[in-house]
Parts: sequence; C-alpha cells; structure tokens
Amino acid sequence: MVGAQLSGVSKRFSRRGPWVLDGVDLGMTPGSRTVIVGGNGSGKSTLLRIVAGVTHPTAGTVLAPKTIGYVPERLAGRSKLSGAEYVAHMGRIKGLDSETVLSRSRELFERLDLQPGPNAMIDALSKGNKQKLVLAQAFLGPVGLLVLDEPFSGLDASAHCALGELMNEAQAQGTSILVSAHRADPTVVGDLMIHIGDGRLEPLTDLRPAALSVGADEQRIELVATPNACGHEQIASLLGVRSFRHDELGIAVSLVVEQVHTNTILGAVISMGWSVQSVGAPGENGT
Amino acid sequence: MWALVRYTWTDTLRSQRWVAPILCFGGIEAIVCAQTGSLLPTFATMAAVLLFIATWLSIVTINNEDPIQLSITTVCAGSQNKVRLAKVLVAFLVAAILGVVGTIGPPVASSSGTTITELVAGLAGQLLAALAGVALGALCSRPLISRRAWSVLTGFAVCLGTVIVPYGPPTRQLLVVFNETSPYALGVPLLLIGVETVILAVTAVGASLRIAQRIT
Repeated sequence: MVGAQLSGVSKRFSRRGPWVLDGVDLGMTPGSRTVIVGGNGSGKSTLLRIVAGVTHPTAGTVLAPKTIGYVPERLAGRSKLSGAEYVAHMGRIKGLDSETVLSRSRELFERLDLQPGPNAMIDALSKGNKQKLVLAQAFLGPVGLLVLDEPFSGLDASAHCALGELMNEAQAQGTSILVSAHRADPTVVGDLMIHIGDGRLEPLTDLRPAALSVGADEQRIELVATPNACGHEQIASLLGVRSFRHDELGIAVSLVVEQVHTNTILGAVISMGWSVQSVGAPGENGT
Repeated sequence: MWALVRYTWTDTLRSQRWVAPILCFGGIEAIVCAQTGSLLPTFATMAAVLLFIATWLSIVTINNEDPIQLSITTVCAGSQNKVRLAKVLVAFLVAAILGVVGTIGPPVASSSGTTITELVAGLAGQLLAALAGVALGALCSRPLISRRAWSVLTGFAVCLGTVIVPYGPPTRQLLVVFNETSPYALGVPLLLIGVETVILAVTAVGASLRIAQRIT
C-alpha cells in the first residue's frame, strides 16, 4: 500500500487570480495521520480536494492511492434517496459487493448512531446525521487514503468518539489519513501537524503552551489531547483548576490546580480523553 | 460503470426534475400528432422537438447532483470522466425512450397506413436528435455553465440556431430530407446525417469532459 505524495502543487481558480496554493510539497507514509490546520479560506479544503482528485492542480503533481475515502467540507443534502440506499450506491460504485456493503454500512450506521435511521430520506436528516452518512460512505471499504475535511464538525460526543475509533482502525490497516481542522481544535492530533497559510505549508512542532506560575499549594499538570478528547471549556471549569493555558493548536494544555484537588482532576481529564504528560511537585514551576 | 448508471438513474428519477421536460414533450407530441398529414414530415417535426427536450433532460441529469455530492461520487468512482459519462448515458437512455414514443405516436394517431421503411426512418431521426440534444446538454451544463437557468437558456438558443440555420445538423437537415425525399431514397441522406451527428456528438461530449476536468 502506498501513501501519497504532492510535489510543487499550486492552484489558482482564474488566470489572474491569487494563488490559493503556492508550490506545496507534502508526503504521507502509509498508516500515518497528517493534520492540516488553518483558518477559514486558508486553502485547506482546496488542498484536500486536490489530494482526493476532485480538483485538478494548476501546477505540480499528485501521487495518490487509487482507492480514496473522501469527506467534503460542506454537506450535500438535497437527495431524495434514503441514507441506506445512498451508501449502498456509493459502495457499489467503489466496486464492493452488495453483501459487504450491506453488512459494513449496517455496522457504520450503528456505530455512528445515525438518527432517525438508515431509511430516512437524506433531505430530511439533520446536519450532524448528514455528516454521519458522508462519513459512512468514506469508511465503507478498505482504502489507501482517507481525506477528511473537518470531519468532526457537527458531530455529537458519541459519534465523535466513534469517528476517532474508525480513524484509528483504518490507520492500523495501513490507511493514510489526511484530515483538516480549524485552529485550536484539541480533538485532532496527528503524526504530522501542518499549518496552512498564504497558500504555503509549514510544520508545527512546538506544542508547549506558555508557562504558568505555580503557587505553594498548587501543582502544574501538562496534558496532550488524544483523538477522543473533549473541549477546553470542560477542563477549565473543573473544580480546583486555578489557571489554564493551551498552545495555539489547542492540543497541549497546561493547568495549575489546587493540590487538594489534583487526584480528582487527573481522573476527570483522563476520562475526558486527555493524556497526562507530567505532574509537577507542589509549588514547582515548569521549565 | 453499471453501478454509476444505476445510481444516476435512481437519483435523477427521485429528484422529479425530469417532470417538466417530459410533460413538455408529451404536450407537444399530442399537438403535432393531432394534425393529420403525411408521416415523414411529422417525424421530422418530432425530431426537432426532441432535440430541445433531450438538451433539457441532459442538463437536468448532469446538474442533478450538487457539486458537493458530485465530489463524493467522483472519489468513489475514481474518475470524473466516468461519472459524467454515466450521466450522459442516462440522459440518452431517457431521450431514446422519448424517441421511441415519438416514433410510435404519429402512426397511431394517423388514419393512413404506415410502412416499415417510414417507421425505421422515423426512429433513426428521433435517435439522432436525442443524441445531438444530449451531447449539446453536456456542453451547457455544470461546471461549464454553473447556473441552471443559463444552462437551459443557452441550450435552447443553440437548439433554435440548429433548427433555423439552413442545413443545421441534424434536425434542420432531417426536416429538409423528410419533407423533400421519397421514403425509398432516404437511406443515403439519413446515413450521412447519422455519421455527421455521431461525430459531432462524440466531439461535444469529449470537449465537455475535457473542459469540466480543467475548470473543477
């Protein structure tokens, strides 16, 4: 199974228009997860569309696996097909046999908790459930590459968790994942974190938030988000959290907590999907 | 390809956007058939009508998926061209069914007898018009023309042009040939119109695939 490789990819939408992407190079190894972080209109979606083969680059070359699962940024929602019918059609178009499509789509609908059910018409589904349907078609069969454009948007907590598991399973089978996220999204962590801005990519390596000062009755806790982590607000609002800071991606979090509440807070953040990196001694300031 | 055709057929059928062009076709056919006259000129008129309707149907079929839904289908199929070709094929299938209806209608309504030669010539004329219309629709639909109304209006304008301009292919030529030639001398002119229409249609669909790929 191959990863994907972009060399010198540039894109503009009109002959005199601005460059949305400007000489982008990107390599993805099999089974790796690459996260593209950038604000609205930064060119994330264009980059992902080019990797998926939906948009053709103005210049440069794209080498991608033949089979790709794709989740676009916005949702298509006017179809009069039922969710089950739509996913079955997409499965057959991918060349999967009907039985595989049927059993796998049932499993996916159940895991993502599609409501009110697979037989509801697409145009009657809520935003989150349309997103689940789009996810179901992307994860239907084994693919070499998953291109997921802000896949967590609009999902509830349980579907969020299910998607994290599906991504982990796909990676374990050697599928490369390219996923995009807004800034400060603690829920998406990758092997390679890349920032996109002004049509160029630059790797993000420094995930350490700025240091907080620690009082004598306080302790410092360093956390890193796992794919299933909840948002910052829930951590900041825990009893005993005195101060809270996160890095610009929102993935690494630094807390100063009252010493008496340290154990409760540690238990709570772990159950919220955060990984504890270090706990300082009482009164010890971080480096 | 079969899976794509099946999906396009079902999704387009459910959308009900085909209702307007098909009602239009039915209404005009009823009016044309109600006028008693010789059969071949009626077939030529029906072919001209079908050219417009096939263009409309082609735009309806190709534009049925919104761009986001289309992007998912494209990735599933692994090729933008395959998806567009499936849509063209489905549009031609529907237009061809209308062509058969357009061939059966006039003899049923007419009291005079019909020869096999006339029927075959009529059907050939309808199918050529269907092919030309569908190919023209491929050039007038998304992403080449992104707004639905402009797509249909441009398609109609070009259709009108091919009917008005002398020797416009294929319907103006069919009108001339079916009105002025004896049924037994139709073979060669029909064959020539057929070859010309197929070449033009293949060129138009090919161009639409190329341009669509460039601008998406």
